[in-house]
Amino acid sequence: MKKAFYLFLAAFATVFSSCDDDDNDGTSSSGKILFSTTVTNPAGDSGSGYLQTISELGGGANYDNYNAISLGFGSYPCVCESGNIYVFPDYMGGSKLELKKYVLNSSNQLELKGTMPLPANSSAAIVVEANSKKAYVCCQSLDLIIVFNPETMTEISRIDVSSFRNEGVSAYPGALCIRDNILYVTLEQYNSQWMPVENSVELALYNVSDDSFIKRIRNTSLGYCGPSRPIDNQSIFVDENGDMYINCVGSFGYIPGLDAGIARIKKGETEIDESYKFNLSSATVEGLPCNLNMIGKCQYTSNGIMYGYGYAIGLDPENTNTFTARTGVPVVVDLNKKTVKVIKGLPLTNGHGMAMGIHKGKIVYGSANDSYNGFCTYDPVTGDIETKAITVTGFPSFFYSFEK
Amino acid sequence: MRKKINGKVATVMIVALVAADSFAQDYFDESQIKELEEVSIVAKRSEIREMREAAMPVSVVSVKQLEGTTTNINDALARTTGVTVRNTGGVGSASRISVRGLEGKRMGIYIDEAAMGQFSDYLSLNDVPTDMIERIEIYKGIVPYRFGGSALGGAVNVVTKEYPPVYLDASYEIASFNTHKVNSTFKRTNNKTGLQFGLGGAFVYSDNDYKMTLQNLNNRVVERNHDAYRKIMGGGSLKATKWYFDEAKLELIYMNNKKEIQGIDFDIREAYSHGQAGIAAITLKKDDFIADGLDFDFDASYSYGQNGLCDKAPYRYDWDGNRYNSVSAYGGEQGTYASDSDNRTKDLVSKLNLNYLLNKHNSFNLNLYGTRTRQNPKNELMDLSFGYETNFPSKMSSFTTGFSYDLTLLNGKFMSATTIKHFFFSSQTKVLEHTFINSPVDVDTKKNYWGGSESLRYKFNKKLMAKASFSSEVRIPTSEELVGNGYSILPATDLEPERCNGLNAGMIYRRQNKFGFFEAEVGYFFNDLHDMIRYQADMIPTMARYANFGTVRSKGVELDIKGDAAPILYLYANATFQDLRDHREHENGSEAANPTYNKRMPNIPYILANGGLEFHKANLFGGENQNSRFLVDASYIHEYFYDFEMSKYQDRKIPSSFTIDAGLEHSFKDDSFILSFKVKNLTDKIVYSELNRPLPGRNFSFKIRYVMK
Repeated sequence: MKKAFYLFLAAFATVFSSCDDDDNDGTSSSGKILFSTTVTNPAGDSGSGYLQTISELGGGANYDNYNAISLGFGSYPCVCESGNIYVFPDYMGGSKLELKKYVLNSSNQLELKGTMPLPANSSAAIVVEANSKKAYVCCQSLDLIIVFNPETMTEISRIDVSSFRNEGVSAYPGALCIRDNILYVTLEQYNSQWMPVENSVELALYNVSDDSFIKRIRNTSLGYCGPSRPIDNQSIFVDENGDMYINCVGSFGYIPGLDAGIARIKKGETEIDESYKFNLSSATVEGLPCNLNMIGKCQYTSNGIMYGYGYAIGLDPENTNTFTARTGVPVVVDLNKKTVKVIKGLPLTNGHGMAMGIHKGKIVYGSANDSYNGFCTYDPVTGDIETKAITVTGFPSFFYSFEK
Repeated sequence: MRKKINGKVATVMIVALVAADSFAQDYFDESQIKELEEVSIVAKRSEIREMREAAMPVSVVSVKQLEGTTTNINDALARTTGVTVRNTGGVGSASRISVRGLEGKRMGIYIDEAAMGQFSDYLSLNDVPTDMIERIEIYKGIVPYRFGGSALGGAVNVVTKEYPPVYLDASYEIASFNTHKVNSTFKRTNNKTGLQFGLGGAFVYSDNDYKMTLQNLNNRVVERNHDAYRKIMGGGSLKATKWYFDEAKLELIYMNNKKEIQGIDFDIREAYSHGQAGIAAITLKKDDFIADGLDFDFDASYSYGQNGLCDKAPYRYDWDGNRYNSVSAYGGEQGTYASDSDNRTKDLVSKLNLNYLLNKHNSFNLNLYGTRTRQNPKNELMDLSFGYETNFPSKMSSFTTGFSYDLTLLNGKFMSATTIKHFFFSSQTKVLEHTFINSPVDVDTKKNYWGGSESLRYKFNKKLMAKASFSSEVRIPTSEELVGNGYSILPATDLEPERCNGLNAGMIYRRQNKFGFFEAEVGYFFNDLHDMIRYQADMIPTMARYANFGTVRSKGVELDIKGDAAPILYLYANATFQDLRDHREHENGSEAANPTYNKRMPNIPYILANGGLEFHKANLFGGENQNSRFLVDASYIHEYFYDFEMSKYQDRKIPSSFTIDAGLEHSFKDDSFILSFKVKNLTDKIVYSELNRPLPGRNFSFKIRYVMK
């Protein structure tokens, strides 16, 4: 009997010891390049992002997430001109409810410099800094902007935009922008399906000095809607001439007639420029065999040239999973000529892998394509393309370089 | 949230309420009762032993374990080798049971071998009072062919007690957090006509107002303030044993519940769910039906249920009392839309089992199992929130045919059970096309699949036995997976059923000792689960659906030791290591490497252990016909990650838990009066079994029970 018993124990112990965790060969290091990946859980509706720094972009190096810090699922970091890097909780909830501020330290490593509590279910996604003592974080599901001190990471006050709700929808503030001491808050006016219900472009304007309300902008003549992609801080920007452009995402292509387009507020003005219409949904895109539904991610450079990830459901029409369908196509948009053109040679990506940025003059595209997850570069001067510049573990969802 | 009544649950409730009717009884006079009770005690042990000797891997939770420190079935299951129970809160909260890491819909849940169907907010195994349970059988890997239907992870079969013909069982339990439970069962048999009548009822109420630590809010401690739960059940049955059939039984049941919804990150103050259901079930059994050796067993149930979610408060509040508008202009504290739903569900489930015993070596079994579900959801407030009609009806049918052959050789030393199954299912519903999301179109689906299994057992001697089984089983998608729920989950008519190729092997050593018995068991399992079905959220809330995930490979070992260490002391310990890994080399529809290939599946515990003791003695405090028991149960679950383990900085995990429960029980007059006192989570640990869903700390209960027999 004892022998049999010991045999049981030995068998149990053997299997136990043979099931150790995988060895990890993490290779990430410090540097001035930031990127994050998204890894989904089996259920698909949750997961985590992983943010890390590296020093070089190229050569086909592979990076896993072993040395990366965890990010909230569905939200992407915001990097401000001050160098502050803001990290958010899960967009849909489920992680610790705080806004984290990191900086790159002298060793070019991420260093946590402060945290600030956030309300639950806030879907916090965008931070803009007015100065070293004042910044705004957009809590989209609460119709709320929290004013805070980025130095101390303490809340100063709150701006409630719920009074701007149209009938039957939530005001749903999206991306933020500060120009001429005015805070521009885009208002998505979403219904419960996170869909707009009419072609309108709306914003609320506040005085940065005292956060007082200035005015509300509403335009229905452009024929498109969805001012800004709520989680993309580049989807509202000011060009070198001082003009503000808003990448309107419409209904993401899901409701015909509720279109995407580009809106403009000219320098010195606080109303939508009705003379500037650029409907992306009806635009003919050179090199694209189907209609474009929106620009999912964008990066302005100069001279009216904006690079982006076009989103076109027609590229992968049979895939019912909107996260993994290969519907993202690299494009270049000429805001002045109102043209869109596919950048040939860069692969299609899915909805999670739409990172974009600029590094040493090159346009960087994250790509979750049919062959690999990684980053590609496009040189706007020479037109050279480097695919698979680096490969990563998970969908490349965010990119930022301090070396422009 | 899915809240529907499945007709297959009828038997559960009937059993719970009219448990005395569950078994045919011979007739005997009062003088025989005492003798019969003594015999039945022996019989219970032998039944357990017989069960353990079956060819399929099975664990048994006996009545002694059930009546120890446990207050419900989930508690008892959680102490069983390889079983995990994931709770989200207190009394009436949702829970998930898994066997060897495969959980929920993959498990078959049965009451006296009648399928209970899927869990719902109405009903779970926990609704069956432990007083009425004889034992619980946990089948691992393979579901016995006579149970019918389709399941992969295994099965839980609750076997109810046998009672004498005149029987009254009434109990009242009061527990922490203003919890009250009342159960009663009455049975009367007319010896002359052979008719048995049964009546029963149950009432459960709890405030569930325990304090909880909120991980996402800097470990802030708050008291749950909107988690009251109330359930009322009542039913009756009529059983005939002298008609053509050996047993013909009709059962009727009604249940009604209401549950407030407790906020975790937010302070939800108004939302609640509600439901009611009526169930009718019929059972017909006859041995030597048509021909000698042919046993006939048929049961069918029909249920009609109504349920809804009421969530239309115009404001939400955080734990500091700050007020926010609801996301939807029409209200709602939980999500993005307002709801005041009135969903109607009709379910029909039937099973026919024909078993033919050819001789002592060979027997054959034919099992036919059919289901039909119709859903009619209605939620005008939700339609307003979304701006178009979001609710639409659906129906789904399934039919499973199983043919089995049992072979017994070498004087019973060797047993083999071979089964082949054919699965068919169809559905009719409407689906939203993802390119135009507010205009549903009609969709019809019909599919067929084959599966099979082989189980073997060999007894080396009276003490040592080996078992093995191989299977290629199929699990038909549930109606929710296939046709959605009509509002928040879309149909997925291209869904493939899950298929599991598995191997189970084990050895059992058992012998009598001078105090009672000693038993040791070791088991190994290996499973490849293909086309695992998972919930797939979408960028757009109403576009969620179920999808096939890919392959998950699981393997593990279990060790279980128990026995009488002294005349008054029983000890047990068990441990499980289960290793489930993502086995997709590439991402779906891509040649790109899957970043989680061979990673441990997240949010599934992988190291579990339990142990405990029971001190028992008759007439400990003097007197006669009294019994006392003191029990301690300990449970350990090693920490596990909520996400795939990727980073050394990863911190979102379900922490390790080590909990101790204790119980003291004293009975008088041969167990006619029973008093029991229990302490759960004795050391007041902060415990989670789901991420960010805190469970109660130390809590107490006192129960008084009267049994007239």
